[in-house]
Amino acid sequence: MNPSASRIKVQPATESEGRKDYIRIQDFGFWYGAKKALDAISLDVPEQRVVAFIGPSGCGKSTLLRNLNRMNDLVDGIRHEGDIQIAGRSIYDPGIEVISLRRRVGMVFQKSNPFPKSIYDNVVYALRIMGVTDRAILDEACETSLRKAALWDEVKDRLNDSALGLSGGQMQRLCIARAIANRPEILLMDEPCSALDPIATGKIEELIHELKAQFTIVIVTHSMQQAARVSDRTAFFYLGKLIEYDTTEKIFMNPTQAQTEAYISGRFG
Amino acid sequence: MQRYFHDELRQLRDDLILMGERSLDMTRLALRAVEQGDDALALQVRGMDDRVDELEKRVDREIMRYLTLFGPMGSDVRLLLAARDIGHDLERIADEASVIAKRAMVISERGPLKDLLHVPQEGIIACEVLRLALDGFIEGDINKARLVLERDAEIDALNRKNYESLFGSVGDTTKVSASHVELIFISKALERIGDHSKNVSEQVIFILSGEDVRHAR
Ligand SMILES: Nc1ncnc2c1ncn2[C@@H]1O[C@H](COP(=O)(O)OP(=O)(O)O)[C@@H](O)[C@H]1O
Ligand SMILES: [Mg+2]
Repeated sequence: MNPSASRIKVQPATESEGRKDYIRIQDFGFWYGAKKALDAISLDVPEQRVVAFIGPSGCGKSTLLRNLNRMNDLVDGIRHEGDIQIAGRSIYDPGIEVISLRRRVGMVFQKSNPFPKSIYDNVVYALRIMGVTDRAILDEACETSLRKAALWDEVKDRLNDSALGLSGGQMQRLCIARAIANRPEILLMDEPCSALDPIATGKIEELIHELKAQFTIVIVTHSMQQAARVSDRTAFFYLGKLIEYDTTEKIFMNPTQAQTEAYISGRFG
Repeated sequence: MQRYFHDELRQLRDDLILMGERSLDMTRLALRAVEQGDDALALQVRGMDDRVDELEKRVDREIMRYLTLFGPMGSDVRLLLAARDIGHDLERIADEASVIAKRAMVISERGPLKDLLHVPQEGIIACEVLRLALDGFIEGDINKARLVLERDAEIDALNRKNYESLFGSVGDTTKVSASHVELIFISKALERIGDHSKNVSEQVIFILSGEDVRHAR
C-alpha cells in the first residue's frame, strides 16, 4: 500500500515540460457525511494538457472531478479539507463566485444530456442565461463552438432541429459544444464515451486531442485504453487515495507502484 | 478514420528508413576504404555506428510506446512486430560495415594489397541487394522483397569463391598472406550483410502479406 500519497510530484517529462500547473490540488480530503471519499490528494494539472483519472469503480474519480468546479456543493452533508487552486487562486476563496467558477470550469457528463430544444438553442443556452440577446453574437458563438466540437459540418443545415434527434456521439459532441460556448478554461469530462460505439468514441478522442490546444482537460474514464490514448498524464486512484500520478507513458509502460501495475495489467483484485 | 496517433507509426517508419540509409552508406564507404586503403574514411565509418545504435534504441522505444498506449490491431501489429526485427537487422548491418572498416585499416597498415579477390564484386552486389531490401520496405513492394531472397545466393556464391581462391588448391597456401585472411573476414561480413538484407525482406513480406517466409527452402 502506498504511504498516504501526501505529495506525489511528477518529474517534468517531455510532454508537459515547461507548462504551468493550472490546477493545484493540495492535501485534499472529502467526506459525504461520515464517509470519507477522498484522502489527502495532492496533484497538479498542467495547462493545455489532458490528465486522465483511472481506478476501479467507487475509488473517488468523479468525486474529485466534481470538486474541481464545486459541483459537490449541491450535495448535503459534504465537507472538505485541504485546497484546490485554479490559475493560482483557491476555488474556496470567498471572493470566488461559484457560478463564474462553473463557467470557467465546464463539464461534460457520461450520459449526454441535451435539453429538449433545438441544436442552436442548446449551444447558446448559457450565453442567453448570461443575458446575451444579440443574434449576431449568438450565431457566431454557435458556429464557433460547433466547429470546435467537430460537429458543425454534420448539423449546419439543421440547426433548428431538435437536439434529441442526434445520434449518441453527436449528442455528446453537442454537449461539448455547449460547454465550449461558455469559453471555459478547463473542461472536465466524466466518462464521456461510455455510452458510445467505437467510431463515435474515436471522434470524441480526436476532438479531445484537438481541444487541448486551447483548454486544460481532466477526463475520468473507466477505459484504461482510452486514458492511454488521450492523456498526457494519468492518475491512478484506489479507495479514495491517489496511488500514483505520472506521465501516461510512465504509468502504462513502467509504473512505480505494484498496485498500479496490477490494475493496468488486469491482475487487480 | 485517420487517428492522431497514426503519425507515430509514420515516425517509426521514417526512423527505420534513416537507419537503413545510414547502414547502406556505411557499407559503401567501408568498401571504398578497403579498395583505396583510406584509413581516414575507415575511421569515419567506425564513427557512424553510434548513431545507428541510438536509432535502434529509439525505434524500440517507439514500438513499445505504440504497443502500450494505442492498442494497435491488424496490419499495424504486423508492422510493429516486424519493425523490431528490421531495426535489429539494420543495426547489425551497420556493425558489419564497421567490421569491414576495421579490417581495411589492418590491411592498409601492412601495405597496399593488389589482389582483392572477388571482394569488390561481392561488395557491389551486397550494396545492390541491401538497396533493394530498403526499397522494398520504403515502397511497400513485395516483388522487390522477394527478389532480395533470390539474390542473396549471389553473395553467398562470391563469398565461397573468395574462400576457395585462397584455400581451395590443397597444399598451395604459400600465396596466402595475413592481409588475404583479412579479406576473407571482409567477404564474410558482406555475406552477413546479405543475410540481414534477406531478413529485412522477409519481414517486409510479413508486413505486406501476413505470410511468414522465414526458414523456407
Ligand atoms: N452523492 C453521494 N453521496 C454519498 N456517497 C457518495 C456520493 N457520490 C459518491 N459517493 C461515494 O463516494 C465514493 C466515491 O464515488 P465516486 O467518486 O463516484 O467514484 P468513481 O467515480 O471512482 O466510481 C463511493 O464510495 C461512492 O459510493
Ligand atoms: Mg464516476
